Amino acid sequence: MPPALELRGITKRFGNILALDNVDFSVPAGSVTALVGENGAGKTTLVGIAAGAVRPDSGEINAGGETLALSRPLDALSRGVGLVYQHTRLVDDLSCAENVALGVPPSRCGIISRDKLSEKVSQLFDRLRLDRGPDELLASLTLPERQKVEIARLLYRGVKILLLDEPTALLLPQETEELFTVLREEASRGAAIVFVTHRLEEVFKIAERIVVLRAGCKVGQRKVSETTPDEIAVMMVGEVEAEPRLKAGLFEEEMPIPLLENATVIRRGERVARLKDFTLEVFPGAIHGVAGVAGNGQDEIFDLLAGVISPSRGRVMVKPGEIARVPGDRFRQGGIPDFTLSENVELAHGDIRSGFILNRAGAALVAKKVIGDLDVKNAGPETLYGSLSGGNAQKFLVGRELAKHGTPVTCLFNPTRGIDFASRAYLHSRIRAISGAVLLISYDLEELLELSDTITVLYRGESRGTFARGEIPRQSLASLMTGGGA
Amino acid sequence: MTAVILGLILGALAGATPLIFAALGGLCSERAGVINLALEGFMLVGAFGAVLVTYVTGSPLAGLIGAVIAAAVFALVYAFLCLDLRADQIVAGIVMNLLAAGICAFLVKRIWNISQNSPPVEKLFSIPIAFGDFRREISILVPVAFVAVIVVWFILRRTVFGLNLRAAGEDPSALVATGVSPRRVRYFALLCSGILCGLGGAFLSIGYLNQFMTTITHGRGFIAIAALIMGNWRPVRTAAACLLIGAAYEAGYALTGFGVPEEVWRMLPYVLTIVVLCVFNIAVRPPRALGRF
Repeated sequence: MPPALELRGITKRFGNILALDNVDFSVPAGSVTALVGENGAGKTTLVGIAAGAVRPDSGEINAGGETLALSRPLDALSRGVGLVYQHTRLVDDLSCAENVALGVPPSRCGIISRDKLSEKVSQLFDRLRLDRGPDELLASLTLPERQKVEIARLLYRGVKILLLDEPTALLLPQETEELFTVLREEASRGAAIVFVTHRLEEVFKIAERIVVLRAGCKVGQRKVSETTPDEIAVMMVGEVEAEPRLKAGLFEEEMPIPLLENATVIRRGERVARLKDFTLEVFPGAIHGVAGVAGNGQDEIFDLLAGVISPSRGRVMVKPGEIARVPGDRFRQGGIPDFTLSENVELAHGDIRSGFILNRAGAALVAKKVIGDLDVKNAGPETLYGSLSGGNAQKFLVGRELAKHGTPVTCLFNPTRGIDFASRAYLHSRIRAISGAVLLISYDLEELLELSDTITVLYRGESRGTFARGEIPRQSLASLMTGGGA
Repeated sequence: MTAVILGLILGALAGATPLIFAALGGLCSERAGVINLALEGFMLVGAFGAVLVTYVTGSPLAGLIGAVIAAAVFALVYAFLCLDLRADQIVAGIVMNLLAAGICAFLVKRIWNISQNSPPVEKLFSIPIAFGDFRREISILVPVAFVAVIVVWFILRRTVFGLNLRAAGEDPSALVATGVSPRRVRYFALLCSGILCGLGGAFLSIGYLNQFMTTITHGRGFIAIAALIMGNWRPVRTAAACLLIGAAYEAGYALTGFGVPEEVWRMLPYVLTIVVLCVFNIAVRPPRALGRF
């Protein structure tokens, strides 16, 4: 049986960077293929080419036995190839059904046949286990639900080859499981599924075949049954560097640095407090983690420390200038995408100036140091921040804060969310090496367990307790995070 | 007393009519993602077209069609500037207003050799209202305006074009991904905008009055924008805002009798907009892709 989708000899350059070098890639129908590799390995470019969103410099694409000259997403769509982007391309202000059918709704004389539309969309939603009505506004949907709407949109258009670009990067474990169930069902219906990821444990759960890319080249492909995570990891990065030693034990002799004292935050127009009587202190030389499911008060803690909001009751004990911060949304809050790295350094480092005049040379120097120190790939001081990949942007942000001197506290919010594991391991080693106190707010329990000396569990804006490393098991933490008992 | 109240109500309806047409025109444009500050200009061109064609043909119905065509063509010029030449939409909107004022003043002078007002022409069909002793006429375009609200609502909510239009205003890239050209959708949206403003202009020149004046629109295109914001870019709410402003106008007229200076009641629609938006704490949300490509 011929593969459902076959790419041969695909080469793509961006400027003088070779993104893909003569890559062959084929996907059989009725199975899940994982496409793995580090950030910048070319995964996203490859699926983009398959979906017609990116035009290759050379190479050939076959779908269903036909050679295609793909150049527009619509061409690929009409051949049954569709891509689910990492950030879904849906319209918030339209209903679920309208999003699914956008461009091709069932209609008579230009008037949309609402009954037919609702029926079709309901069927698709049932099939995808999405418990939402077709008329609900998209804006009310959570991220995993949006992903399903996006998948429904492609299935509605008859897509048989489903490409997913890092679909699990922003999902919780439970949500990831649900997505996998749906994908397996679609594969058993005969769909060819390509799954881009850098989380190896997921690859071994969902995929039947693994294709590994490194620096634009295909390193190889394996059947899941015939390989191990270690082998794939080595294929992805070459070799994994050894982790630096853990920080020395406990720190009871140190004086704590208070950050928040009984802080309560009630947002304007809301009655329920987002943060309730929350007290937070950190120790010099230690990492204090804040665990919790997204939306349980983490944003409020960060905004309080950043001085963006002030508490309704209670006190913030540090000035914004005394705390280095890496925000959770790297492109919306971390830096200005249209500014260069140098300019983004200037924004965060108020001290690089001569009187009223910006010290551009000084900022460029700091930017260069950050790029070198944190191994930000393919970048210089004049590179636009928005052109960095997620992992590299995150490295830049962390490096920029580390380059600040005399800030006793560093606060990191989801510092490795959605980035590849090599960058993640690298950032973790850098976070461990920070000499001052570190506040680590993360949605990733694994990350917290790996790094934190102490962990406070946050649930509905309240502390469910603070625990030292190893004091309670992981299951208890997870239970506290979701409202259960320890 | 009944007569006074009826008079006020009819006055408010007549005051709201041109605002409703213009605001709906702005709504079509802005829900598709194109900022439209040129409503004033669209209406002026429509008002002029109505009088010119009526003057030439002697038929106000032909004048109405003339108004729609003139304003639609003018709107397509705006569409060309914004969508093909990628002009800044705010600057282009202001330019279109100045251009409309210039063209109309020039043509009035050339055609009738007078500087401001055209000669009187025949008015469009009116509906007589009789209630006891109370006798008044309202232009046929008054009920048409309210029908237009429903039509625009229906098009936006229930038709393929309306769906594409809303998507173009919220996220054109999502539309591209489905194979629909946002540029094409926006051209049609601006065409609708021109048609509606043409009706609004025709109401002013051959529905309410019976001549063209170079100052006939008198800022209504801008008040319509205020109504559009007050109505949160939704057809029915926008029409309600227009009615509120129309009533404020009418109440203002009444107040002049009590020694309130004319300038004060002229401010009422603007003050009202600010008061409604601030005091009642109405959160408005413009279309996400407004002014973007």
